[in-house]
Amino acid sequence: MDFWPVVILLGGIVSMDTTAGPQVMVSEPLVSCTLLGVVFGMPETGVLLGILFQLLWLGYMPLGAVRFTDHDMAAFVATASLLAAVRVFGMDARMARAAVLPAMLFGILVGAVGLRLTDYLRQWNGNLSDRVMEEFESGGVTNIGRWHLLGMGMMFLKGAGMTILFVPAGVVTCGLVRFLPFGVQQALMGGSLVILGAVSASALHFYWQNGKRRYLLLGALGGVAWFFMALIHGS
Amino acid sequence: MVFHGPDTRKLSWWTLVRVYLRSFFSQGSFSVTYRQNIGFAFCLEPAGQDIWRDMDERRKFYLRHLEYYNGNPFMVTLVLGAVARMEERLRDGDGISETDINRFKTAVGQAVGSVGDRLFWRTLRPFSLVLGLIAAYQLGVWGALVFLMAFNIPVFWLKWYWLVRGYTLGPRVVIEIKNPRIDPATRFMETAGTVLLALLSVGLLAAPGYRLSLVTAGAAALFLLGFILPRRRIPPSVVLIVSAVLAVFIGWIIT
Repeated sequence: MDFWPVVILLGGIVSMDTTAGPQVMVSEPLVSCTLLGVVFGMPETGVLLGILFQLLWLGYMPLGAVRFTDHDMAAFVATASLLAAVRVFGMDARMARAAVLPAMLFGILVGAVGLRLTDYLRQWNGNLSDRVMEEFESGGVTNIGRWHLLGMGMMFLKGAGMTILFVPAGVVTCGLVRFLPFGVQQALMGGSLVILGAVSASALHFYWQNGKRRYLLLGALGGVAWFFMALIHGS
Repeated sequence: MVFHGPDTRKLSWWTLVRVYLRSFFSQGSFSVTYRQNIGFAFCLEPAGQDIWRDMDERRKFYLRHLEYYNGNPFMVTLVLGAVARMEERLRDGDGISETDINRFKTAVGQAVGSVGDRLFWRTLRPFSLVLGLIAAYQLGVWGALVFLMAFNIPVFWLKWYWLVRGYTLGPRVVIEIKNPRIDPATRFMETAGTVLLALLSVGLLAAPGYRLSLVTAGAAALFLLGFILPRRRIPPSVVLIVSAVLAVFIGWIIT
């Protein structure tokens, strides 16, 4: 349980970095999941999950005014849940792979909750602005940095709170895989491999929408050539 | 050290550094109603405190910048620099009114939002991520560092460059928004990002054992599904749930 303080701190930072600041992209799944992997002593698993979630949400952009699924927190909580489950229940590599899909689906739920919480905090920040303006209009000069820090702090607390609330639930969800029949565990393991197809499509769809179709085909041809070269080299 | 010009008192480098550091938190208290109003006032505060020594004038300064403001967070320094210059000219009675500053912020904020969102969110971020993903695929944990460097080095440099340019140009900063170097850079990153991501995707799909297997076939099937469903305007979450269910089914067949 020694990992909890670090994971909660990271959860707060991920939530803050998504939009509030400093937006140095430590909140992106590729970075946050890798960091979690290092924290839990399973860097390869962290990187793999980071690649998976990053591909899935490559086209998602936390543009200021846009309402977006909280994909950064979703990836963070899902990865933290899986890695913590491996530590807490002593799950082996086969079991951990079987838990990938349940963790991903749990992440979708977390992302939806994160969206609602962000909406609420943005409304709350509006009230904060009203109060600051009232203070200035009534002839006073208030410390604007304090109010701004309050807004950022709430975003940090949102992430930390979501981590405290959802990671234990995610650990239990991932841990339930142990009680599934062997055949279902095998199916989940196979599913965690083929899901790469769906997440790759999600990432490529972003560029497809931007009209870069010719270049996608060019890259795909390059990939196929790479594949056959590896095949020949391997044999 | 100070910037030289016709005005009587100029902002010091230290003040600009403080504005620069604060600009990383311009969206800290983002609200639905006023967007980045408190954030903008917070970022510009060090300049405002230098420019306006009289408390009543300083209060008016805060109120001016607590108006609605929305723009791209990475290009905010361009607006901050220009507005700092305009505040100086307002203090010096150099043909700038409070209305000019408010109008300028609204107009330039929108332009900067449009250019910045394309440059940073739609181009640099995905491009850096693709580089990071390829690096992660090949080098493991170092992929995260490659991504962070590919994204942040240009961002840190451009933010400072735009702050200084904004402060130097003042309201003529529009020249910088129409910088002819932005479009070629954007096109290059979009093209390179597309090619590299397609390459990586094929590599990932074919990865298990580097052999044509049922896993590759299953992944390819899900790839097609993941491509077709979003084109039918089905929400990404639903696409993922459907894909996950099908992935278990395919996993059951192949094992």
